[in-house]
Amino acid sequence: MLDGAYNGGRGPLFSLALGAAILSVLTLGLYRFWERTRIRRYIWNATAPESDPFEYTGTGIEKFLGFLVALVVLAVMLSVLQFGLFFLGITLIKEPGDEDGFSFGLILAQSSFLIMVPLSYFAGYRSRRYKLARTRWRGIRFGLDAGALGYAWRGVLYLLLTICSAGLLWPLMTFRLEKYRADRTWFGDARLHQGGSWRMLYKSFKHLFIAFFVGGGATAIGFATKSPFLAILGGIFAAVWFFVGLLYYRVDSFRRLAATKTLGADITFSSDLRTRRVTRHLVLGSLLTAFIAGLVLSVYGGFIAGLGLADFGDGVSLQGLSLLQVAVSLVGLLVVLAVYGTLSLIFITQPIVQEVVSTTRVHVPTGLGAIQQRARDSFADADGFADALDMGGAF
Amino acid sequence: MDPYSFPARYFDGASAKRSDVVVLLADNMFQILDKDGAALESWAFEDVRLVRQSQGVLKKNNGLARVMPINPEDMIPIEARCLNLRKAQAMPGLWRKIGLWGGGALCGLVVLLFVILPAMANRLAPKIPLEQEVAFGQTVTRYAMSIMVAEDDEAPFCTDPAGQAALDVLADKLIAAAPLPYDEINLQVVRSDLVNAFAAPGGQVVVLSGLLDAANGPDELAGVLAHEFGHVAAHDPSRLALRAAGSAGLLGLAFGDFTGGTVLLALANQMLQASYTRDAEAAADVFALQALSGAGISPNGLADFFDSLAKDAGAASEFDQLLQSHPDLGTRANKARDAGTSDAGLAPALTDTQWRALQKICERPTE
Repeated sequence: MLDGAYNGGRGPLFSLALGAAILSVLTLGLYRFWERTRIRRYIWNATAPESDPFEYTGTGIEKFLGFLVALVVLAVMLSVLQFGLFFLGITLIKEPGDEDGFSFGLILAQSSFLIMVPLSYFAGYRSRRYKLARTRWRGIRFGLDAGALGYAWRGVLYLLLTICSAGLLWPLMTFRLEKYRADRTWFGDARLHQGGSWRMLYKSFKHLFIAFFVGGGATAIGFATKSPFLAILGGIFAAVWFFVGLLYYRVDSFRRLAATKTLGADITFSSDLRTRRVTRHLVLGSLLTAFIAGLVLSVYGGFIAGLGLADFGDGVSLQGLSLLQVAVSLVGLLVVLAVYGTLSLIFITQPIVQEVVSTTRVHVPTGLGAIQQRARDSFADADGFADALDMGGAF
Repeated sequence: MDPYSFPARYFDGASAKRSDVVVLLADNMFQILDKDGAALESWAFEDVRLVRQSQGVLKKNNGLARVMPINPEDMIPIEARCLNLRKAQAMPGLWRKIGLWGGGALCGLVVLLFVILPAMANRLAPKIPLEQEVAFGQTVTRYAMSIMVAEDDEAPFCTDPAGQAALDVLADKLIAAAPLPYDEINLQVVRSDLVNAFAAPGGQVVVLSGLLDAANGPDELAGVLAHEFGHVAAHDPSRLALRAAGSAGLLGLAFGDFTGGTVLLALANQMLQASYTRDAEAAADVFALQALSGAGISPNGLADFFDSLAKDAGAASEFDQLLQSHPDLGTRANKARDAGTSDAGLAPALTDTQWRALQKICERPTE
């Protein structure tokens, strides 16, 4: 049996991430591909089942080139789409003064954002494929089969189902998308398989149901009996427990999905992840991050005021400021934001990664020696689509 | 150097098996020996590399196998003998790939933003079916008026017949000198305190009555009208809208969200739009001066109008100028004056009677 172990620390990750973030700001964002790569390498190397570390073999230059490729594709696609929609919008106005036509036309012209939904599924799958293809353990490569387009339309379909069912079909979406990804995942020549059924995830829905029925019920009773106290209390309970329920759903479904996965012939997994601990990291981490970032921001504000750059006598306005003032304020603000990102990485993201890794176990009945190496995947677009669409999560 | 050996873990890069091995550093070779002493692999010292940012995982340059010394102290003799541990991995053809893809992408974006999109906007704007464009323009006008006109004004369009006739005389003079691509121009005056005039798609031109009150004579109005006709001639309203629709969001992709890039993005977008609109405004000025000259009207009226606008606006900082969608007012006034050096003795654009009738166009008919 393999126990997960995470060896990362706050100090080393903080200095790495902060330095890289500041470089990204100073290079107007150009360095962010190398920044992400270095953070990934750190986290991968710190994750070590049986003291054998993972290895991330992606490079910053590969990520950057992938971004450029994705950028051109997206640029052409989006501008043609915008153009076409606008044209279509204008021609929909049948008569002068057709207010409905005008509004509809305007909405149509703005609705290219709707294309973002399938695009983000597409980009998410490509991104996962790149990260897996560039991950090695004991020298053996991971992999994810092609299938981003299939993932995109399935994602949209299940999302619609979830929305139309007011969230009740969410476990179906979670399971089906996870199965799609898992069944196409490889470690060397061993394929991953997701077992179980989507109905098992309703047990993870427990606390969301509680939030809805107890909280919603209390609010409804409060309205019916005209007792504002009960209504407000019910509302607050519902809101708070909704977040608890969301976290519980994520953690519990993760446990159940892990327990029903199989790798190769006989390798299985189990997870002891606890909602309580994840919540603690999330809440404490967020508070700590906000507090320290707030401190840094106040120091920065004092610095700006001290230099006489801010004269808020008539209210804040961009007119009358010299280019230098604007530049200094902007750069300073971006540095503060960089600090915030780094803090959230070490106080929220890394502790949660540690939690997930250290509570995961891999059961290997007959040894790993049978698993053979996989060929290298070359990627023109790396995880460029995710970068171009500002997706990509914490690392 | 003396030979040195140490225990290590070995992953052969062909299967996921882990083996315990002994590594012998001797004769300039990093030799990996199994438990029976048989040699599994041999790497030259100069080929040994450290896996980047790892806690001590070794590999051969571009190789798949991995070796992990069990004791961290064993890294010291390794570092002493293998001098290329941290040398960057050679990636064949990398710079060529960078140049090709990177250059190609950047060129593609630049061409798209500055050549293809404007060209498409220019081509398509005149092709919008006339009926649709007129309908669109009238709807846009109504929308703009909801902002510029007092809410409780029931009849914002000024329709006094004598005033409208004077306006038509002026418009006809200008159109005769510089024809427009529309058979019909819908020119109207709207009651408002604002000093402004604008062109909407489909040959719609609106003059706000504040402009009539503020003008020091028919020549100023003629200049402003000629400028708006310039926009109509170039299909600017539709063209600029198409252009904005096409490039919206493109810059957002490029800058990404590197902690707050959205601020820079908004600025960049505004600068891009503004420069495109500045060109359109400058072109409309050129059209206006030609039309005025052809109609025998002095351009000094237009110059005076720019001067009075400049006095109200105050000096613009260098930052503002990048964001402004109008060229600098002082420059425009000078250009207008330069065009009129030989206009001694030109008659005003309208007779006194016509001008007075026009100024009263918004007076409500007495019951």
